[in-house]
Amino acid sequence: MMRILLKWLVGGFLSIGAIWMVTAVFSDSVPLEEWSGALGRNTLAPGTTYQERREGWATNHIGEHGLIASRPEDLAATEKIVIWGDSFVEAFHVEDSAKMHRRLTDLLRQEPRGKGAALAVGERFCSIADYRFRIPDYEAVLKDVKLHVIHLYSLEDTFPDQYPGGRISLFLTEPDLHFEKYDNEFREIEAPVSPGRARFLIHQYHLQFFSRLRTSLTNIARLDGLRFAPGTAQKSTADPAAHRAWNRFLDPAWGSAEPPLEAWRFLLRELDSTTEAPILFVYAPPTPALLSGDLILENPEKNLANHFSSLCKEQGIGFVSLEEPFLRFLEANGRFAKGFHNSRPWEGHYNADGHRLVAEAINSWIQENRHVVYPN
Amino acid sequence: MLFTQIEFFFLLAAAFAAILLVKNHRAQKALLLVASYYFYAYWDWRFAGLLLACTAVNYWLSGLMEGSSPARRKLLVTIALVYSLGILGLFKYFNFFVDSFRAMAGIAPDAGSTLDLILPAGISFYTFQTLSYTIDVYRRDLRQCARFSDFALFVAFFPQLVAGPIVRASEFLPQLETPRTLSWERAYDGFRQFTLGLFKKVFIADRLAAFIDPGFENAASLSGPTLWLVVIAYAVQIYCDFSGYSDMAIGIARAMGYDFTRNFDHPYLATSIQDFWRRWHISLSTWLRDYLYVPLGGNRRGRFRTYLNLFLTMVLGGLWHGANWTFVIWGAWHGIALALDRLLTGKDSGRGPRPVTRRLPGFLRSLLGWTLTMLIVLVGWVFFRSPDAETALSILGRMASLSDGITWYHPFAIGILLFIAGYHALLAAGKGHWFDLKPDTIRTPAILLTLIWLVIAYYPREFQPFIYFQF
Repeated sequence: MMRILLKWLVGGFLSIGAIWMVTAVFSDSVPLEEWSGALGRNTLAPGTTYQERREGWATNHIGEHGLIASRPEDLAATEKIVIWGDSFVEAFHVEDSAKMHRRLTDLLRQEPRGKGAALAVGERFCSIADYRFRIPDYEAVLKDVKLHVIHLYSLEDTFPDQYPGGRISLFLTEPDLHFEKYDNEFREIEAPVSPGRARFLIHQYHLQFFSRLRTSLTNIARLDGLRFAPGTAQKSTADPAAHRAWNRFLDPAWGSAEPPLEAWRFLLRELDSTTEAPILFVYAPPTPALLSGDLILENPEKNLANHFSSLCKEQGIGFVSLEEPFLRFLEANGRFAKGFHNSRPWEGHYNADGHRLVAEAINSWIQENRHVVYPN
Repeated sequence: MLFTQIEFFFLLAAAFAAILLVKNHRAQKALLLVASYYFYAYWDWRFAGLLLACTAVNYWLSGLMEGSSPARRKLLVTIALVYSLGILGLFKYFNFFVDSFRAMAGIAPDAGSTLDLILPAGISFYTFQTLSYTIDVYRRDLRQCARFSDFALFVAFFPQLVAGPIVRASEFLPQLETPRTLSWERAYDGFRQFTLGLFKKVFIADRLAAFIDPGFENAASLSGPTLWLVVIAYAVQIYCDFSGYSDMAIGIARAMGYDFTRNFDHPYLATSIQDFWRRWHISLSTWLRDYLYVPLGGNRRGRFRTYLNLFLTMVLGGLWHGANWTFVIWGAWHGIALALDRLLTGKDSGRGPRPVTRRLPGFLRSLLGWTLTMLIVLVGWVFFRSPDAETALSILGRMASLSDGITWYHPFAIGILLFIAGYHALLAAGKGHWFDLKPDTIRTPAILLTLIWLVIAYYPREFQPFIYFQF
């Protein structure tokens, strides 16, 4: 009996080694954050890496100020373009060299002027309200910012009163139109992340499996979300495809929403007042898309996008739509600019082609508006 | 309640604790019966009444058969059949027949109303299980069970209640007569089989869904070779999902001291369609053989009647799976394939056409048989998985063209397919013993615990019920 127990003990250790190796290669790693005094908030820890495996396959290198895939020479450039956005700009899903800001830098370097570099400030779930508060902080740190590019996937971000309770700043209508800063950014000052903690070890040695195991066991121990009482079954008639997060913008009801013109005017004025550098919106429509076998080419948000574009023009803010580039790319290649083989190659975040198309669209706008970006 | 739910593990722990702590055999069985009804009521307590009614009516009617005249026995078994199949028909097929009638009569789909009933989980399984008991008693193959509580436990025993295997009363009821002996050996066997089943279900089947569901959903936009990959992946998914459930059920029962017969025997190694049905969902195929095919006359009434009986058995077997014409077509497809198999191999008369393949060397003959069998099975799965026949035909039409190459190769799906192919190749090469997991080697815990860690680390985020729950 003792011999068998001993064998199981050894086998158990071997299995731990095996799962460590498997998850170290095939699982998302645990990102490490660090307090940035200059920015007054937690950012991804400079000098670390983050590997994405769930959607796409990439290893991301974190540069100074927590900027993903930023190189020292980019930070030293005297003409900086900063791209703001959520997970689309965070772009963990593609390798550093394929990200939109690196592609844009490559294009800018081909110019005779050749002094430009693009940087990305992307963070999942963040919205325009966050950029509104962060633009001055980053301008102070980065210096020489010539253009702010705000990436929008759908126009949902521009609507007020979205995402209540999220870990982000908010754009609210009550009692009157205003932005509300995510207050946890202040709390972080009191409790900065210490690199000596368990999270650091998990990050350093790719122990993501243990992190997952700990979370699971903690939830079980707390009985989180468990139900023990007998219930009654409900008949579901919902179409799961239509209810996936990505597809909510394909609902014609969403596209036919009344454009919040007053709120948009306020938003654009506020953004414009936060910086002296010009602002450009890069709008990505939810189309082209595949939904339940149907190829959807018509952008349901077209009307909203037209209104928003007009207001941007009124305010002297740039607006570029990716609707045409995405459609042309699909027609020419039979592929989508979003999605990956390990998720769905028509849905989700931008793949390398999508990043290239965004970079090209921004570069085209810059070339057409050089007097705005480089007034001197 | 699903075997993969955390709550289930609490129930399992409580059930094992009860068996270990309560020494009285009748009390043990009573506790297992309570646990089984809790397991069923957890999903919807209202249907526990239906389960109880089905159990009680069949027990009562079969009890009346004891000592009755043949005519009265026939009447009683007819009542039991009408009652059980009536309940099944009402909950499972009422909407289907109403919709089909509307379609045939050209009535608008929204005219009038169907009952819009929720299908009680496992109703097809426990209906067949109770019927087999009643028919066995009617045929005098089995004596009336002495205790209602034993019979109720046979019907409701939670490891096999909602998705099989379909356990025969003649196999299970005798096990309830004597106290069960729990042992380390049984506990290990049960743990091993449960772990393998859990891995097949959660790590393989549920994660393959990320490729298969969007693949079928957007089939019209995918190339033929990609759809082949999707359909092959579905073949692996449904096998791992269903055999995974069976493995878990058999493992739990074994650890508790009860034995179920195996439900799968590597069906994708089959070299003929008949061989496939000897390996796939064995408890259903033998049930259909004993309670449908044989009563229809089996192969005793001439060749044509044999083919017809095979066809009818498979069509009804298809319909058992679900209230949709796609299942009927799937059954018919297999029925035709089985009939053709008998016809071409001359199994009925011995004077049938001599197959050309007999001149081939054994290995080539097996390879050809396997390829043909897999083609038949894969085409069948397209109907089985598609929402309607039109979609299935459209998918098969696209699969006929191999011109565009593979446009979507999901790395996980490719990896799993290669792993499964390699595993089956080793089995076919007679290396099955490599996968024996004896408890006294270091390899066994290393493998089994790694499988458990993989399940935890890659537990799918989206809820994935067992495919066979819908049947």
